[in-house]
Amino acid sequence: MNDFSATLKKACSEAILAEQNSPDGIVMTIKADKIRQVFETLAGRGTSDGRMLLTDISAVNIEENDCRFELYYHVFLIDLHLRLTLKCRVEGDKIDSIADIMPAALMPEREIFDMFGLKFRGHGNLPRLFMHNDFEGHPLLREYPLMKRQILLEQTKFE
Amino acid sequence: MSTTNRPRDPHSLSDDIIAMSIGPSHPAMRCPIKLNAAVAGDHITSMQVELGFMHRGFEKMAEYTPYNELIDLVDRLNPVNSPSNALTFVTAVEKLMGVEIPERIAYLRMVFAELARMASHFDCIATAAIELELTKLKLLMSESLNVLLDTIETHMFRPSFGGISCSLDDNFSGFIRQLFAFVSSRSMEGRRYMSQGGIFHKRLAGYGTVTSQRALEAGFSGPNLRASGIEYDLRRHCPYWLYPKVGFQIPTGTNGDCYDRYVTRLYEIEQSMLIIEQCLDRMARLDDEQVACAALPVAVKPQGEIYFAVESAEGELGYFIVGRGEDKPYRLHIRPPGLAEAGALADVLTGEQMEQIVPLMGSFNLSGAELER
Repeated sequence: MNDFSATLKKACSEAILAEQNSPDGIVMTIKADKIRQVFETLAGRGTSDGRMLLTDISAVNIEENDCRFELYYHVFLIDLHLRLTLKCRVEGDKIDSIADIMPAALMPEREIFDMFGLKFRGHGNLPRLFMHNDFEGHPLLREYPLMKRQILLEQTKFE
Repeated sequence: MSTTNRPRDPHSLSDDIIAMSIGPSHPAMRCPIKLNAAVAGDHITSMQVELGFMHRGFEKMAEYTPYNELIDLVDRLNPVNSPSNALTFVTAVEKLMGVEIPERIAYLRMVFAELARMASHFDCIATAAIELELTKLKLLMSESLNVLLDTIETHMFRPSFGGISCSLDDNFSGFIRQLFAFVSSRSMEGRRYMSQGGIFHKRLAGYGTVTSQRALEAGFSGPNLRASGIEYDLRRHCPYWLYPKVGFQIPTGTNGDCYDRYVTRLYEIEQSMLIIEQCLDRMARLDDEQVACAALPVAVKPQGEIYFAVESAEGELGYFIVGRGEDKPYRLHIRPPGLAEAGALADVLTGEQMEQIVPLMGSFNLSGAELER
C-alpha cells in the first residue's frame, strides 16, 4: 500500500496536495487541472502491480468561495485490495475529461453534466443522460427547487 | 453511443435499414430502457441506448429527508434485491459515525443479503428462460424466487442504524435449512437444463462476448465482470460485515459471453447457500446476551464523507454520503450496479440478431430505479 502511494506521489508530485489514510484505503486531494496527469500515471502502471477499476465519480455541489464543485473519483486497485479516492475541487464549471484514458468515466461524466452542469473538456458533445433535451437547468444543484417539474410532451426524435 | 457498422446479414432479403425502437417498457425487461436500433434484415447495425424513463428524483429527495426515513426509501430502489440497498445505506452511515455493530447483527445482515442475492439471480435466469421458451427452467427458477421473497417478507426484515429489525422464531435456522433443501433441488435441476449442449447453451453461448480487458475498462462489476474471467468480489477484496470469517468460492466464467453471465449467477446461488449455512452455525455458537435487535442510542447526525460499497447481486452497489452534522445528508450519491453495463450495451448489441436482444440485456441484470436519478 505504501509502495503504491509513494510511487504515485513521486510521479505526480505537483498534482497531489494532501494524502490521508482511512480504514478503507487512501484519500488523496489533487489539483483539478492535473487530473489527467494522475489518471495517465495510474493507467500507465505496469501490469505487475495490477489491474484497476474506476468504479464511479461523485460530484458535490458546494458553494464555498470560488469553488462550486467537489469531485470524488473512486478507484479500486484489484490486486492490491486497495480503495483509492481522488478528491478535487473545481473552480468554475469546467474540468478535463478522463473518458479517453478510462472509458469507465463515460457514463459518470455524462451523469454529472446532466445533474450538475459541470462540463468535461474533451468528452465530445456530452449529451444529457437522464433528463430530456428540453430540460432547463440541472436538478441536483442546490439552487434547483425540490418541487420544480418540467414535463416533456413531445417524443424525442431518433436519427 | 456506438455507431460502428458491422457486416450486413448475408441472408437478408433487402438492403434497407429500418429504424426500430424497442422499449422503454418491454415485458421481459426489468427496467425501462429504450433501445433505438438500426436493423438490416435481422441484424442490428447500430444502436443508441436511451435512459431516463424512471425519474425517482431519489438523490434530490435524500437531501431533504432525515436519515431514519431514508432507510424506507432506499429499499424501494431494487424490487427483487431490496435488502441489499437498505443494508448498504445503513452500514455506510454507521461507518461514517464510527459505530461498531454486534456480531449477531452482522451475521443476520449477511443472511438476508445472501437470500436477496439468490432471489435476484433466480429472477435473472427466470427472465431469460421465459424469452427462450424454456418453460420448465422458468418454473424451477420462479418457484425458488417465490419462496425466497416469501422468506424475506414473512420475517419482516428491516435494517435500522446499529441493528436489524426482523421477527425470528427459535427455529429460524431449521426453517432456512428446509428452504435450502427446496431451493437447491431446483437449482440442481436448473443446472441440468443450463448445462453445455442444451438449448440454453446453444442459444446463448458465443453471443454478446465482453473480453476481460473490455469489461475492466468499461467499469463492469459483479457477476458481469466475473463472467469475463476476472476474480473480483468485494466480499473478498474489500471485506465488510463478517465475510472474512466465512469460506466461499468466487465462480468465474471463461468467455465472457451471455451464457457465462447466466451460469456464473447460477453457481453464485450455491455459494450463497454455503455462506448462509456458515452464518447460521456461527450465530448458534454466539452468546445469547447479544441482542438481535438494537438501535443507536444517539441521534443520527454524521459529519464527514464516505464511500461504502458492497457486492450486491447485480454488481458493486456503493453509497457516497456527505454529512454536515445535520439530520439530513448534504449529498447522497448511489453508485448503481449496471450504469457501466448500460453504457456498454450499445456496443455489445451491435452486430447481434434481434432475437438475442432480450436474453442479452437480461444477462446484465440491470435494475432501473437504481440506475436512474
